[in-house]
Amino acid sequence: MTDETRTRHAASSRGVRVTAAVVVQGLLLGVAVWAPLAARFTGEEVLLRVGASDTWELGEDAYVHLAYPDLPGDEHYPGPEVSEEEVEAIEAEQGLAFIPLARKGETWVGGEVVRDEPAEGLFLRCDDSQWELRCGIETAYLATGSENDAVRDALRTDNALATVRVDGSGHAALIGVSAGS
Amino acid sequence: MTAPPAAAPIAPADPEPKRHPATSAQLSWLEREVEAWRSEGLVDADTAVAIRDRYVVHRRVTLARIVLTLGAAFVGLGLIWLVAANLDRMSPLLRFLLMVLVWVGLVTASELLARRREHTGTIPAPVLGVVRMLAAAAYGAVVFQAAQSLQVSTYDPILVGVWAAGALLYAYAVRSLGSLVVGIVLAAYWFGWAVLDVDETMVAGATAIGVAGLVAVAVGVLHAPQGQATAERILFGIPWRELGAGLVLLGLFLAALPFNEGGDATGTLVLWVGLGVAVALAALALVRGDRVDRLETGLAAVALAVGAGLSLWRFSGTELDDLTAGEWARAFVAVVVYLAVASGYAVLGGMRDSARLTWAATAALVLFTTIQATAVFAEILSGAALFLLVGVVLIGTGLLADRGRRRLVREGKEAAS
Repeated sequence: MTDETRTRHAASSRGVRVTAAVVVQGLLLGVAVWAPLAARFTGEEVLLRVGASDTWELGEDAYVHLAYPDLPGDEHYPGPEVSEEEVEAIEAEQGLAFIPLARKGETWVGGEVVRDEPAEGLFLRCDDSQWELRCGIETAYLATGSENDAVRDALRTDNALATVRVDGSGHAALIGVSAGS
Repeated sequence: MTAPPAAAPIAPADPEPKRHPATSAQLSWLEREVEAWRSEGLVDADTAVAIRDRYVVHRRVTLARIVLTLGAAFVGLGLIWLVAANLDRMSPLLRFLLMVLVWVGLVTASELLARRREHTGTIPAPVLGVVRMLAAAAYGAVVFQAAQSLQVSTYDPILVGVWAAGALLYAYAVRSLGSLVVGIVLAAYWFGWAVLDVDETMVAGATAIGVAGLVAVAVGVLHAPQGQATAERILFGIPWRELGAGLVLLGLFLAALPFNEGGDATGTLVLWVGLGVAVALAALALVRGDRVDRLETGLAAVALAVGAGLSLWRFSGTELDDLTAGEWARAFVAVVVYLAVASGYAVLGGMRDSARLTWAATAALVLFTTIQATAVFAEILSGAALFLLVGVVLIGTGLLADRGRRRLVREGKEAAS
């Protein structure tokens, strides 16, 4: 084997290795974000009433933080009249939270937070260990141009509609936000 | 003494023999030696010239290399910055696709550079190294952007774990030391986070870092076990062993802090699994390594065991200015053990010919003594007095070790004669 063919051989075998590494890296990524991806492609579509959690300078940024009036909000957070022990007890059980969904006319509404996975029906798998309930549908992308003014108006009054896909294990993906009726 | 066999004239089969790079220090040594050989008649003048001409001065860090490396780093970072600054105008999908483009672009660019380097030799190794390191880093941007675009919580160790696995995979696929360093650091970070995610205590954190250190050291040793040590295997073991040493010293440092957080130390599943893996790998490394390998693995294992012991022997006091005898004993044991482990690493650095290891161990020792002096010993000893004491102990140890070495050499000579 001459030096030239050896170099070429080494380069081509490295090419194979690099391609394999890139493919496996892509697969690893798929595993890491499998849940919302599955919801996006296999989930059942529901409509949820939605508003902006902060209406100040809405439209300055393309990313809007959402609040869902029909899902349990931060009312599960203890008020000032609750004792320290009760706060600790509440915080100890916070974490994985399930919200059963029920149809009410055109849109769906969420029930009380439960800690065990519901056996049947549509539900959201969320996390309430942070300062807000997170179900993976809290941020919407709305281009900042005037074409989305109607949607932003609806978001100010909690009258916008979010299209969300929810799969059997409660993973949710936000598909889009519209001005609603 | 017979005359040296007349060397067969070096027939220049190759019209232009390959010239090997050597540092100027090596060359000046060689020139001195060759001159000595010639004057002693070991080689004739022609051979001396031929030997000298086999080598060419090679400066490890030339200006061109520094500028090229810096340039590659700046271009890469500037590209990432440019993308980051304009991200908020793009839709989630576009953001993700752009990150993928940056990542695949860096991987492809590094392959093109590598081919060019192999064919024409015009691309310096550091430039290729920097681009590959950036490619390993860019994979992290892809992972985190995917998570953000899909609204997966980015505050989750699994994402760092995936990034670490990807960086390690890439490092071995292209034999890139820079990517390997990125991968090892991320893997250790992932393990520490995964443990702290379920058990947010100093005990768990310090033990997790020690476990990560022992795993890294053992993996490093197993890269080039006895009888299988090729230059490349040894080279790839170095980041594992040295970053492992850093983790071991950090874990022991945290375990030794006089820190009372209350509550009970409870092991978590992740930590127990990690400990099991660490023990198994360390045992394998002890079996398959040579004498220095065993010393290195043993040092990490002892540091982990002592660190876990110190963590379990909880610092019970609440006030640092009113310590009980038990707390004093704990502080004293901690200092002695740290002194021994850090000195062990300094010695190991000497045996491995690694100035990095020696310097890291020395820095760890100074930092540890300073912290302990201000935290615990301030009441009975001033910082100055503790430094004096530690200095005297180290000098004493050094003198004893030197005397032992001399005696060994003397006995060896006596036995040989």
